[in-house]
Amino acid sequence: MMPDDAGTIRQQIGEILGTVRGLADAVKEVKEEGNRREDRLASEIRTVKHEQRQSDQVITSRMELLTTQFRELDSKARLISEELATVKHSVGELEKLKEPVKRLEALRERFVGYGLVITSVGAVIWYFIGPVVSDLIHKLFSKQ
Amino acid sequence: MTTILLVEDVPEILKTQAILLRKAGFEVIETASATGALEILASEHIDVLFSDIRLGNESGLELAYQVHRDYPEIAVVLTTGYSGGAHEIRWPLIMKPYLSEQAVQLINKTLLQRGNI
Repeated sequence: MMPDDAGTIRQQIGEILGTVRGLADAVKEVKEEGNRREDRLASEIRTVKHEQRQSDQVITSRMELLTTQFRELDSKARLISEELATVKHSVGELEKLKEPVKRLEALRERFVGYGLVITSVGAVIWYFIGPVVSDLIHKLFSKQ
Repeated sequence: MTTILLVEDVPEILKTQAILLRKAGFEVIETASATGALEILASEHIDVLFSDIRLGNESGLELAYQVHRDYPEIAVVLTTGYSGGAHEIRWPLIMKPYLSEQAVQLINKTLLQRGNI
């Protein structure tokens, strides 16, 4: 082998080594970039998941609150229904009493009518015999 | 009655959870930030700190450490929707989404373990 050839080969080897180093650096850079992207992506996924869980929590809380409020309203509605049934029953009972009360009222009015007649007749009688009876009583007591 | 300091930066979760915890029989004081929580802690009697870990720019975890240091008698229960690093937390943790019933159970369990009830 000629010295010139050896020099050329060394030079070529040096160039190849340089290229290999360059390629290795490029691969390293690509790998690092890949890792960075992976990290960014993982972080973004975590953020998206976090936001998703926050939204899920909002919905869960809302649903829970609505269910609780629905239960409370249902319980109140039941109480009102029970009260309504009691009131309806009382109204029914009052309806039954309507007729006897009407009869009693008619009876009372009749009595009031009789009472007026009796009072009037009594007044007329007293008008005629009252002075005589009064005079008689006066005489009886004055004799004593 | 047990008083809970509820710290949550999402207004809708804060409001609904406060109502649900009140319905469960707790007295609830609500705030949306760690700063607000510290102000309340300085003036009110609190039995339990129930805080989200992520509070916008603030950290619920830092708040927990501060409460643990300055108010050791207060029980701490944390919540988060963020899965990363949850295993490193030393306080009872409930993952979002959770039902208020689950939160109540964890709060009561924590109080029981501390001998508060």
